Amino acid sequence: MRRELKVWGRLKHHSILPLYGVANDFGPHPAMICPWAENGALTDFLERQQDMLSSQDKFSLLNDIALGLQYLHNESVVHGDLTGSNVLIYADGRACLADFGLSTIVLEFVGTSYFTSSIRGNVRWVAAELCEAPEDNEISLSTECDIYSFGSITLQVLTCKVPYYNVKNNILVLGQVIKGKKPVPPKESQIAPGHWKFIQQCWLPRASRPSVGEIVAFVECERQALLNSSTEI
Amino acid sequence: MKEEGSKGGRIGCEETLVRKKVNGIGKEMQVGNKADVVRPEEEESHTTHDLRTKSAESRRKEEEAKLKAFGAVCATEEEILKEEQPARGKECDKPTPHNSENMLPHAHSLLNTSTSPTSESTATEEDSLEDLTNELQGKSRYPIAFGGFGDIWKCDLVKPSGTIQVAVKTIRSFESDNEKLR
Repeated sequence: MRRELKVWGRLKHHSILPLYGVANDFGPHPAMICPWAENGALTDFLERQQDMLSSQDKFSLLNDIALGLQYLHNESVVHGDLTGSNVLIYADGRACLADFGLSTIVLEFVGTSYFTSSIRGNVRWVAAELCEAPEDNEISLSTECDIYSFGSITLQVLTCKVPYYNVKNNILVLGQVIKGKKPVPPKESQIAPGHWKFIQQCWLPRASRPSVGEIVAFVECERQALLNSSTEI
Repeated sequence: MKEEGSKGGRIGCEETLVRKKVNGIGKEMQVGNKADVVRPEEEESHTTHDLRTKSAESRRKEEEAKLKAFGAVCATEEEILKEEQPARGKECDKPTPHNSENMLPHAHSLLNTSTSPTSESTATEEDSLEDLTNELQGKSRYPIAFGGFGDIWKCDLVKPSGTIQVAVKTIRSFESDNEKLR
């Protein structure tokens, strides 16, 4: 576990929550010390701010998240648990990724199953293949799982609603994921067809999903388009 | 680990020492108490060095010992599982060179920090994973949030450069407790 934490300690990027160090008086495992993100987790932030956030703000958030993810993947780190709870918002409104690789730590050293935590709520963002029963009983996290979750995050940021917003119960959500039913945008949300298409590409079978580079490019392109349109007005 | 023996008496000696420790560590780790597995071997440092080099030397040894400890733990896992884990094994068995040019980035950073021995806080900017247990204050009575894997506490991190608010994330024990009960 120290080795996993050391990997985190080594990562330095403005979209990655830094690990300052560890404390040893919080129980059997070393506790992780990180900066306090004033605005909390993405899900709560979006619920609080949904009426105040412009499209530019939203794509700015997505840009932070995409860049963080690109950095992780370039460093051969799979986040493995990209959800609205693990993206944190600093006081200045910037987003950063937290708790990456923790699922690996927990799998290796604590022995809990991925599903124990999935049912708790991250099932809303989790890649469909992680909810299938694999033949060899091994759950293999991959960068593509993060891409799937990024699609879910994008839906959430653009609509300010959690994926499967219309399904309250997490276990029922799991049922939908297993059946292959993807989240749908809220009826009242006006999600651009191009954005919806991008989200759906992230949810394609593993091999067909865009790379993290394509994701960064897409988000940057949309962000620039919004900036240009706002300066024209 | 074999290749290390050929590197000369000093390393060989260290290795024996590490091996001894590792036998104990393996057990400690299995019960989840990884907090204080290896302590700096102050008495192993060379007395001819000045104080700064000495502390750097002992800290580096600590790091080496940790790395080797991980190597040993991985090896044991491999034996048990009878599985090949080449990537992981390689990383664990990485030799720990003694000249600063080939120094592991982590050890290197420790040496760099030692040039200003009073400023422990600079280590946060380095690769090291600092033990900040004694610099945390104002721990709330209860966790402020419950995450998927554990609880989150809000604390103050007291540094010479100032106090900042930090989140302290713990990892819940889950099944490791059950293993103790079995």
